[in-house]
Amino acid sequence: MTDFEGANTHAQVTALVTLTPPRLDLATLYQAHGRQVWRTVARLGVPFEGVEDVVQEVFLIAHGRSNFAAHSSPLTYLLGIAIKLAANARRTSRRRVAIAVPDSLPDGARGVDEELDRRRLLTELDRTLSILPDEQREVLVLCDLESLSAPEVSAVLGVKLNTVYSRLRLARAALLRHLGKEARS
Amino acid sequence: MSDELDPGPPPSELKGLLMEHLLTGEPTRAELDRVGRALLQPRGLERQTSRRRFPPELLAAAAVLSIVVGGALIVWNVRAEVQAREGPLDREIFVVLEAGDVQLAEALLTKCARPECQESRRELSRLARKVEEGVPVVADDLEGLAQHSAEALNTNQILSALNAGQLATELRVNQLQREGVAGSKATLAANAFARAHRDSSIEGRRQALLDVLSLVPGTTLAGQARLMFDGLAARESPDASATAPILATEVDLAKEPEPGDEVSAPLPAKEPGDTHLDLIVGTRTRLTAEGLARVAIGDPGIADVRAVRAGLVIEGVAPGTTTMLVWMAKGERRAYTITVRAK
Repeated sequence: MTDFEGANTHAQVTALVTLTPPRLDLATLYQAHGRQVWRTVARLGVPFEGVEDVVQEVFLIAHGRSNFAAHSSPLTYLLGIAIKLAANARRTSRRRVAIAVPDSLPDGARGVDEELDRRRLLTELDRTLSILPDEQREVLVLCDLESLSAPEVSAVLGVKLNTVYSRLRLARAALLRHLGKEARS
Repeated sequence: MSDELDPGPPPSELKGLLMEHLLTGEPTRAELDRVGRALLQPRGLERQTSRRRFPPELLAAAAVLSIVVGGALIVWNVRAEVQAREGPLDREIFVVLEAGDVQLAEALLTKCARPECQESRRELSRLARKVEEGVPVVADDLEGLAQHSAEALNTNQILSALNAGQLATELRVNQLQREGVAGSKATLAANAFARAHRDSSIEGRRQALLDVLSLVPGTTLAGQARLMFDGLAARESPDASATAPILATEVDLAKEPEPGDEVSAPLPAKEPGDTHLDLIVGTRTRLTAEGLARVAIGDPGIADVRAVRAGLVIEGVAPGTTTMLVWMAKGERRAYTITVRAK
């Protein structure tokens, strides 16, 4: 997909080039959406150690693309990239036997207990959501945890609105069955 | 297909889980700052902003070029693959022919049973005969060969091989060595054979072929040289059948002279016109010269040659014409035509 898709003549291409607005500043972009992108990547099952790299890559890719500035919503655009990179990171991590727990905690400013609690919550969420297929997990995270609307999720994933609804319904049902089983056991 | 309905807010049974994880995955301020600093590093920005942007027309042209070049590469690969599958014999034929060894290529083509190989062999034989007879081969003559051969049979290379005489000297040297000829002599003979193809004058070709005959008598190469020599003679004289076959024999220069050897002429000058010797059967003549290195006679059945002190003694044996080659110590070579008449 390029800026010039659909432009058949030289004049049309020139017009598109002329009309393309200047790109957003990377710092501004990160300041506005860094936190949400980070959270989404972490919730999509990317190993804790790899989240930082994926987030950084999301912003570099978005900033480097020529059609980014013309996109209607920077957030949906960023999340679209994040979804793809997170899927790649998940596949890579599955090939590993186990993800090593670091010997030292990286953030010295926080208390050890608080940091451990943070990681425990992330691990629990990951374990719960891992029962879902990737495409259902992505919809559930974006709709129910990130509170994006269904049309926004449709734009992020590049799928039809009905597909978003269907996946969300299936994801919730599967999660309820899983929680019910856990409660019974 | 029925439209899916908006499932609405999450069911109450899931709300507890969702509330519990409302902030799960949230980065710390330190983590956010760390990534922010990394993103804004000059190197990172430079990497992103240094991307060059080309006008779409140029990109389109580049795409077309890529397709064309890529297509050509694919065709080339496929062709190479096909050639590889056709077996080592074909490759060997191409290599040999490109090296200019027509005879060997012909022999290899004989081994190939495919109709196109047989057709190529016939064409090649026809062309080789023309060359041996001294008839120039032109590009038109190669059309038939090209039709029956793969593109590897490059027309120019064949033309070069046939006309310019770029024959595979190395292969010939090897062949001669296999036949028991010493390395240096084999090289001299192979070079002379190549010269016989390269020389533009009939006389030059004849001399080169005589060199081959005298250097490596009795070998395969000598046989080829003799055929070629006869072809040249036939072209020169319609009464070719009367020409005596050339069987070069090297004369032992260390042999002592016998009594009765007579001196009839000094060693003549090297011009072709001065190198005719007329003898009558049973008579002898002596050539005097200092610094003789080697001498060879084409047909010892017509004239016999023996070395004596500071010269040669030639005796007429039987009626006919033959050629004698004399090499001097300084590398000079002279050729004599000896005509022996009946008493």
